[in-house]
Amino acid sequence: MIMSATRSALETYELLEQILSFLPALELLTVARCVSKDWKNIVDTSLILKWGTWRYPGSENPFSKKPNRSKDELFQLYPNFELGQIDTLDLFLMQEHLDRNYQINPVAPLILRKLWKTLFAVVEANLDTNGVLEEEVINSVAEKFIRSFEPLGLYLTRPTLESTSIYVYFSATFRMSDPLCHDSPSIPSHLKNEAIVKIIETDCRLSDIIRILYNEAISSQGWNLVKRTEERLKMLKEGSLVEDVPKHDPVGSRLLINIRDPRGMELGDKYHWDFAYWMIEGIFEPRKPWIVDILERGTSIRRVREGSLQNDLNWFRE
Amino acid sequence: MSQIILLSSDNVEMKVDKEVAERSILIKNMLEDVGETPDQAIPIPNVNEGVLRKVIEWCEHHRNDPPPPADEDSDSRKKSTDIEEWDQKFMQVDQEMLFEIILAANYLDIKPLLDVGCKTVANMIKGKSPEEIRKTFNIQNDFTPEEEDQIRRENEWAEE
Repeated sequence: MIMSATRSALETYELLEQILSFLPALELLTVARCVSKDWKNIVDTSLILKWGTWRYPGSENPFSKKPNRSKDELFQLYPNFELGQIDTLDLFLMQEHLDRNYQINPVAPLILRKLWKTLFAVVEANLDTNGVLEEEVINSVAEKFIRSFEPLGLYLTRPTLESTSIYVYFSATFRMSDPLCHDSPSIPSHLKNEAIVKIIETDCRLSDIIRILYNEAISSQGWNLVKRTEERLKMLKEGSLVEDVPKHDPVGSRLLINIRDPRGMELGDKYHWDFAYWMIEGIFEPRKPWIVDILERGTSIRRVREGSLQNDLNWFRE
Repeated sequence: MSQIILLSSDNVEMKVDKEVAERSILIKNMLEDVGETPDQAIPIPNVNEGVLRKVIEWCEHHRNDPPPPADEDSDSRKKSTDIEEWDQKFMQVDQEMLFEIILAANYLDIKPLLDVGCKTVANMIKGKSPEEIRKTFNIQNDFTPEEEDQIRRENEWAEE
């Protein structure tokens, strides 16, 4: 029997790979992978598709012929942030941080991806901000967030978490990028606005948490470096879980979720993970870090900030 | 304008401008190796008349396209699935022909045509469910129910 052209094309790895490379990341992961074993295999093994679905372990596009371009060069080439420059860090590379009692869920990166997605959904939702949140609201939100980890299934097995800290670190937040399909929206101009947040208890889901984090990040005036440093030192002295957040990522943004079992404090760093995830395109200048920390310790939550929102925004406009 | 003759897999000769045929890197390299314009027909064993005509039609239309930029990064993996209007019309063929064109473009090494073909297929896939995709392309679902379950679980994160 003569093989149909459809079949023989779709059964050629390189051709199917090329076809699929035109699909958006989410469709690759949630649809294409479900079609057949061949399709799943290709999405899971092809370098370009791994790159396109944030699962490529390196930070350089594997297909770039100019791997180590300097930032200056990049900026000259792409002054208007046209560059699809994405820095990804595969969570699986961080396995060494894990104690064997912690077994990370293989889809954890995808869950974090959802976190990002939600974050940007909030960004896109043109929310209002007023920046001042009731402590108790934040408390309740943080608790919910922490609880939401379990159903999200970041872990396959883990000890009871008694303490969780979340760092959201933005060096740039103006563009969500799909590594292969660049039809992402630009940052909304309302970023400079203040926001009003309403958190309804029953509706307190991941998106609300993200909204809080986001509002905190964008709405507060007077980022206080000294205060932050003091607080950080204090927390460090108290044996807290604060991990130094990187100064900046020349390209990209980062979401750091730091989870640690209190027993981890006794056992060193065994019970401690960082999740880092980059997927923002187009920042080439080192930025002052722009940080929101929500740190739960007992019943109180501290927030630590640094950076200057206004500077960031001006920089976006340039 | 020098012309060359292409011979399809079903032994049909077609005269085309050399410049047009050279949209195919395979043919271009072949002609460069030979050094001069050959009098004999160049056999294209994998491509039948109908498909070859179609491919030549595309090459004719795109004969004056600028060469792809040497800098590989300039395509920067920007995978827009936009297809220009003429190409869209060109690709309005039955599915078998579409894949024939893709195979031919791949064999003849005509990257822009291959891209258009792949984009067209990608656009057919977009928005479809796995089952619809299988149906469209006549693909066997070879997952066991357990495996399907597993994949479904892996996808739960994406459901709102």
